Amino acid sequence: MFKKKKSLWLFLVPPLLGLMLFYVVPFFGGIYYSLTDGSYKNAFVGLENYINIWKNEMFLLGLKNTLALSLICAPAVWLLAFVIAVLLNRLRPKGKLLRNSVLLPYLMPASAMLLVWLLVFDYGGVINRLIVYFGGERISWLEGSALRLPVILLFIWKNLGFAVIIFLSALQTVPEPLYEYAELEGAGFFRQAFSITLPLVMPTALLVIIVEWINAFKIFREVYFIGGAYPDPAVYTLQNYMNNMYNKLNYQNVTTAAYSFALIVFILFGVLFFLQRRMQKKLH
Amino acid sequence: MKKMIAMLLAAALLFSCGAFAAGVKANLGRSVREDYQDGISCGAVCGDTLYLMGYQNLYSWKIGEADLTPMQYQMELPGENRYSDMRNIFSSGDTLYGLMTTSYSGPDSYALEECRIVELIPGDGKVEFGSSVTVDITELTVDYGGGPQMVQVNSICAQGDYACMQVYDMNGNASVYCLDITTGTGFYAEAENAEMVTPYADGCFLVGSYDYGNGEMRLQSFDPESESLTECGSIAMEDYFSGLTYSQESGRLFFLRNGYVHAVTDLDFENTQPVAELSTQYSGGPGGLLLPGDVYVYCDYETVSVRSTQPEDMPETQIVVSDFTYAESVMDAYYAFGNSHGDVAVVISRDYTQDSEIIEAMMNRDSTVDVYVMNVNQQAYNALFERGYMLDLSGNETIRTAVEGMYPGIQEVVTRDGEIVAVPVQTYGWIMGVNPDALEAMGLDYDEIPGNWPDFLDFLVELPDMLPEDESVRIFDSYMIQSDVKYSLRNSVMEEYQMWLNDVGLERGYDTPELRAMLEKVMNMDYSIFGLPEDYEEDGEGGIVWIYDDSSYTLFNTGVGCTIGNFYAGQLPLLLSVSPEYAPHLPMDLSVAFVNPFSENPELATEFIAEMFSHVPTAIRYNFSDEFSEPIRSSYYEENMKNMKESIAEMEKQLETAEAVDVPLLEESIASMKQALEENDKYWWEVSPESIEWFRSRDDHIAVQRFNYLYADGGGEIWEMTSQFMKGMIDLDTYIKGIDRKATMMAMEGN
Repeated sequence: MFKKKKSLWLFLVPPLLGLMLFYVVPFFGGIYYSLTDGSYKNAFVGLENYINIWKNEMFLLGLKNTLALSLICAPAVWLLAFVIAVLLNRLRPKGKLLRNSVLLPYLMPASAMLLVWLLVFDYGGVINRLIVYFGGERISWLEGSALRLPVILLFIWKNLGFAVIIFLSALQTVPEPLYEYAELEGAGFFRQAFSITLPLVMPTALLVIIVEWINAFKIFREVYFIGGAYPDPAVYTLQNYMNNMYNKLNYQNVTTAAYSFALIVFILFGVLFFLQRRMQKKLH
Repeated sequence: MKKMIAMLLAAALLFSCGAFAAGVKANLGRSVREDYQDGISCGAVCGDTLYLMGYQNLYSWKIGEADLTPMQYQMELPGENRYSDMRNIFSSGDTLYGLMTTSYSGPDSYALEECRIVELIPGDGKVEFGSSVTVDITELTVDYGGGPQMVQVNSICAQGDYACMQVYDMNGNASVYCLDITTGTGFYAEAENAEMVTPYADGCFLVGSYDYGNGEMRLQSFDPESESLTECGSIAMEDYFSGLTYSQESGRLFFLRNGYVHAVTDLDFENTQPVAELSTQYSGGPGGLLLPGDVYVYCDYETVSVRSTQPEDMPETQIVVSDFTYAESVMDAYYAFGNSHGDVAVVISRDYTQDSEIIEAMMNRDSTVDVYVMNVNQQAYNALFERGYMLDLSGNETIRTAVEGMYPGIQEVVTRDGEIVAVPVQTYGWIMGVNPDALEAMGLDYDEIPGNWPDFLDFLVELPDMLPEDESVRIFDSYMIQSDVKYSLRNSVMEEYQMWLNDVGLERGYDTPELRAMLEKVMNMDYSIFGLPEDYEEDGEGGIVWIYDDSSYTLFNTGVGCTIGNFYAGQLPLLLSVSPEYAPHLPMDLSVAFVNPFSENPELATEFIAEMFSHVPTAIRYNFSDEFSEPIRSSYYEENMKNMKESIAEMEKQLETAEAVDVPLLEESIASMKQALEENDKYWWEVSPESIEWFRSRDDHIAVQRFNYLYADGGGEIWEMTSQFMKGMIDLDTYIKGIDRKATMMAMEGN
């Protein structure tokens, strides 16, 4: 027994060391930096950075936009992915090609994808030509606040496939007779999906929303590629703020912003877990 | 045995080098530059002596000597309208040779007539010419239209009966020519893009060719007997690669790469070893040579550096200077510091070229670089300065005294919280300029030109009606087109506005009546009134016809030097403010040096900066403070004036006895020479009295150009918007609001 324990440590120590070195130490190191003045001398300033950053209008704007984008993007991906997954699941055993192809945007290199997107949403691009065809006026999608829509659509398009695959794997665990019985009772597609499927795949659904929410918090590449370091205020995200601060060697503000945001994320996810637990209790 | 020779050499160098007491790693400095107009064109080692062919003299040097020794030689006088020239020397065995050409240069034609390999017999301070062999020049001549001339010969070297040289053909293709020095006949080796050649083992030569695609130097062994080339492998070139030379003595191949002399034994390229630090400003010139005992000599066009190639001789202490300003004082300090600190290796690095790399290095508390030299308008400088990532240099008396005496505008960008953190090493400045002669021809005075942009732009519109009828003055340069003027005016306006904004605070932004008024005038001006074409004229071959018309004065130049030392002869800069209520600015583009706070050798690094400052040319230092006030003549002035005066005296003498038919031509020549003499007297200044007067009377307007975040938007949106605005695709309101939005965001974000 003792020998077994010893060998257990042999397996545990390397990952634990890695975890310490690459996660725990940087995490606490970051907290320390957020409490210093960020100069070469690194003087301790307590919570001054936190107080200053929460007074900074650009930080607040970035935070607001990041939360707003994530609140639109994550639920949209979640909902669409769920519906598509249920539909694809119904096609089984057929529809293999469709199931595989939904993952394609996720696998595409970001730069290539952005170039395609730029062409589509260009002033003379496909979208504007369609608008003109239907009698509307061209819109500068890549400038000003209109940029928000291409950014949201791009996020959905890119991340939808991955969420669908996760949902599909969970759907396979739902017993088929439940649907047969529901059909006999006269339940339609949406009734079955939201009254049978969703409650049974709730843990997976929670995972998808968390993953997508985290992804949505990180929307930056798309914005930076199109709008630069200082895009339109409507799409200026927290990552813009942090990136600009990094370029100014102001890493105390980078870490302060990161931890402030992390705190908000922890609270949000805490609420999510709480809700999920309550829902599951109700179901049981 | 090798170790013993190396030790003896090291000892010899250590104890005998007076001027460069640095011992084995000493630089021979810029000895050739003592005669300012000379430079090194070629070098050769014969026995234990290094011979260098300058453009004016032949020099010799032996290990232990403090300086190069000029060697007198008397070129032959081949006859009327003919002259001889010797640009290349080489050695084979114990014999030194020169490649001597004779050319005809008549009033209408030029022709290379002969090329000879001449034996050079060095004596005491002089060289005698020995026997010679005539070279078959059939394949060694090029004609670019002015008559046949000798191809450009580089890297000439010899062993046995053969000399090999790198040459460029008519189309600029690099190749290797092999010459039999006993018969004077030769042939081309089939080596493409050959850049370097050096004697190699078994009577062969090693040819180095650039392989740009792979970033490598491809090496081939060339056998002159069989005329065949054999692949030997390739070496990564990295940043720069030069000075390829092979030691028959040790079988080691040496080359200069990224600030170090590297050695490879038996062409085992997997195991290259840095054996000495050596930086150079130019990768061209004679390159690498070896003295007995594998003492490596590197010559660029104006410097000779000598290093031991025994790794154990490499100093343990090293300071790395990251410079991408290429300021003259950096290399000057490098040589001087190297000579005075034999125990310290200085490496000039050009690796840190991106702002982000420097910021990342500081984030990582990286101590690789000790001294940074950069422009204060760089984002990295701004970030480092704001966050105090620069060592306090106030403790160094030389630096403190120098900086404390500088103009407040300059002190402001190198002083933080009372600490001196950087030292200026280079400066420039360009603004709109006016030609006083053109003004005089128009009956105008310098002070009559408005001192602010809105009034100046109105004044420009009125100017075409004020031009003299004899067309002796034009408003802008003849090679400009209408849009060039528009873009130049817009850029100048924006630059002045940015400097004004730095004064009043970025929060004022760009949406101001001042900027709107100026840009509106720039955009609405009718540029056709200046008599410039709308577009460039094409030459039909994809090129542009440039029109240079020097028959009249150009009134305004869109970019003239406004700092002392870069004043343009015959041009006075114009200081224009954003509006009559505000003062104009004198822009200064400033490069500075500072010490990395994480440097492991802070004292040495500080000392290096002090050395660097002592090498800043006086003409540049005039801009930093008002301690200097004496004008400086151009270095060519004395000699040229003397030559011109002698020529005038000679012609006047000829005039006394000249026949009547020759008198008008002689008189005309004398008058023309006297006019040139007057002009030279007026313009041949390195620092002119006018430039000092102009600058000193405006030194309270100095504005060092700092980093502008507006151009660091990452996505290039500002450039795109500016381009659209200039092409009329977006209106003034959209443009101003667009850039103002960014400025506001930047101001709100803070530093």
